[in-house]
Order: sequence, then C-alpha cells, then structure tokens
Amino acid sequence: MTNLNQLKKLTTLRTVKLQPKHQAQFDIVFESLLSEMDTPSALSIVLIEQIAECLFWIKQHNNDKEDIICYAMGEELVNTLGFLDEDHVETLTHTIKQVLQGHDVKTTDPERYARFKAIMDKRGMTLSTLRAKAMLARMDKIDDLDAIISRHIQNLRHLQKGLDAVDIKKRMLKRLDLEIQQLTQQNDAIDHQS
Amino acid sequence: MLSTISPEKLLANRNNAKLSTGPKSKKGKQTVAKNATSHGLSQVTSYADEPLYSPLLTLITQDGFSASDSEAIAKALTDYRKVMDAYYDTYMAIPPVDSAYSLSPSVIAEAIYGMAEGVRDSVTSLEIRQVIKSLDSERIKEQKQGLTPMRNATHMRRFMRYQRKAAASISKAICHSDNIKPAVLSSSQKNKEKRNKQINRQRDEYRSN
Repeated sequence: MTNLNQLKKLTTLRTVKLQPKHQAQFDIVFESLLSEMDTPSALSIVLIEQIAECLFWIKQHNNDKEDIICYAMGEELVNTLGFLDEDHVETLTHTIKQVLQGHDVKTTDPERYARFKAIMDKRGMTLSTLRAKAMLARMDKIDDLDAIISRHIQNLRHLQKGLDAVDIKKRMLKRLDLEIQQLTQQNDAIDHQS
Repeated sequence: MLSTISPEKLLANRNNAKLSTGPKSKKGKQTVAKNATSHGLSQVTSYADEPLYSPLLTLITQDGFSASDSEAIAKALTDYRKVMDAYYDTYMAIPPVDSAYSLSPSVIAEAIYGMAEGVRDSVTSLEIRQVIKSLDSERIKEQKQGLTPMRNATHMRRFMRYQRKAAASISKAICHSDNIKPAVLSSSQKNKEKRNKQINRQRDEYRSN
C-alpha cells in the first residue's frame, strides 16, 4: 500500500481523539506501530490505533505511579522532621524527581541540593530506604494503578488477538493463492513432459 | 471565595428551596435527568445515534467481512470507544492539585473577617469557629486525597469492568467471524484466470510450432 493510500485511510478512521498535548505523544506510537505492517486493512488500522492507545495509557499510568512515589518520598522526609509544609513537600518532590531522573542537581542548583542532602543526612536515609518507605505509605494507590495497568495489558492482548485473526486469515489466503500457483505450474510442467 | 450572605438570609433561601417542585421546562428536565449520571456506560447503546458506528460498519464491510460479522465488529468497537472516551474524559476532568490546595489559612482568615465585618453583630465567635472547622476539615480531606495521580488511581478503577467486557467482545467478534474476503478472493480468481489464459496461449503456441 502506498503512503498516500495509508494516509487516506488514516484520515477517515481516526477513532482515538486526545487533547493536543497527548495527541502528539500518541501519534508517535501509532505511526511506529503502523509502519511495521505491510498492507494493513481498514480494520487492522483501527485495531492498531486501539493498541497504541493502550500503550499510551500504560506509559501514562506508569508516570502517575512515579509521581505518587516521588511525592510520598517528599512527604516522608518532611514528616520525619516533624513539620508539614506544603512548599517543602513540593520542593523536595521536585528535587527527588530530578535526582531519580539522573539530573545533575548538585551542579545546577547547589543550594537546593544541599538542603535536600542535609535533611536526608539528618534522618540517616538513603534514596532507596526513602523510596521503600514512601511506597509502603502509598501502597493502596500504587496497587490501584498496578491493577489499572494490568487491565490495559489485558485489553492489549484482546486487541492483539483480534489483529492476529485479521492478519492470519489474510496470510492464509495469500498462502492458498501461492499454493494454487505452484500446483498450476507443476501441472503445466507435467503437461509439457507428456 | 466565601459569600457574605447573612445566616438569616441563608436559612430563608434554604427553606424556600425546599418548596421547589423542580424544573418546569423541557430543557431543565433533560438537564436534571443527567444529575445522577457519572459516565453513562451502563446504558443501552443506540448504535444508530453513535457517530462512529456507521463509518466503521462501512469500512469493515469494504474489508470483505459479511454483513452480520461487520455489524458485530463495528458494535464491539463502538462500545470499546465509548468506554475509552469516558475513561479519557474522567482522567482529564480531575483538577490539578494546586487548585485543591487553594484554602490557605490566610484566605480563610480573610474570608471570615469579611463575613464578620458585614454582619459583625449577628456572627458569634462560635459560628466563626464552626466555619473554621468546616473549612479545615475540607482542607484535610483534600490533603488526604493528595495529588492528581493519586485521585486518578482511585477514580479510574471503576472503568475496569467496562473495559474488560468491551475489549473481550472485540476479539470475540473478530475471531468468530467467517472472514472470507470476497475482495481478496475475486482478485486471486482474476489472477488465476489471467494465468490460465497465458498458459493456454503458450501451450497453443508450443503445439503449433
């Protein structure tokens, strides 16, 4: 199928409509999945779109999970110091997130990093112990998100099963076509010999 | 922001509201009919009214599926889209955490001061304490609910059973269809006929030589 035909099919079949900030992220996944197909039918494209949406949600909920853990880590640090100040939680969460993502906070914002390090040292904590404590504190929410992610994986399996069924039947027809061609050629060869 | 309405007026308004017999206009009745609806996924779908259904049906039929199979697949996909659209809308409707934490102590104090200034004689210290208490409990509730992702985790779970049903019905509809593609078969038939003609022509030429 030519690119033009693919695009034509795409414009008529867009079933997943997201907000612009999410749409771009979704489109990247969708287009990469679509490029793996040789000759997708209309139904295959719709199914691939749903699969891309499942992958988008899995990623989104994983980010949510990470946000919850980071925020809980900030809360945990603040709680152990005996005061609950929202600004502190926000600042610490931001720092923790950046440290976990591998940003060099020590160089870019030494003052904020020093404050964070001082609190950590005061409580005798490392990032891993803090993470473990935070996860324990927010286990219910993390469990909820895990269940939601697992549901999306199961949805994905169902959609994949449907896509396979469409694709396999098409391949079977192709195979039958080739077999007929082969048999005709063999038949022809026998005719020539006789 | 708190209103500066007097307690007497508030009480009178509440008593008057109790006498209300509900909306009179058709539009008003339609609006209140949706008051208890959170996502409407349990309602029976009228596929004819769904904008996605007929284009999907046309495209699946063009793919070579039989009319009944196309219908089943299009219905399953429409149901699935309905669930996923409601899922996305709910996810996006949860407000960001900043707005949830808007009730800072200074805002509360300012509001109470404003209220007390208007009706300084009628507002007692007990009433002010009650207002503070209720606002504070609201704030604690919001703090407990936490960040948007935390609230998302709780809110999105209720969609799981709808998703399970919708996704399973898609794979069931596709796998149970007798997908004999007339379009593909007819093209292969045409190719076969073309090949046979070519073979016959070659055979005739061979024999004549």
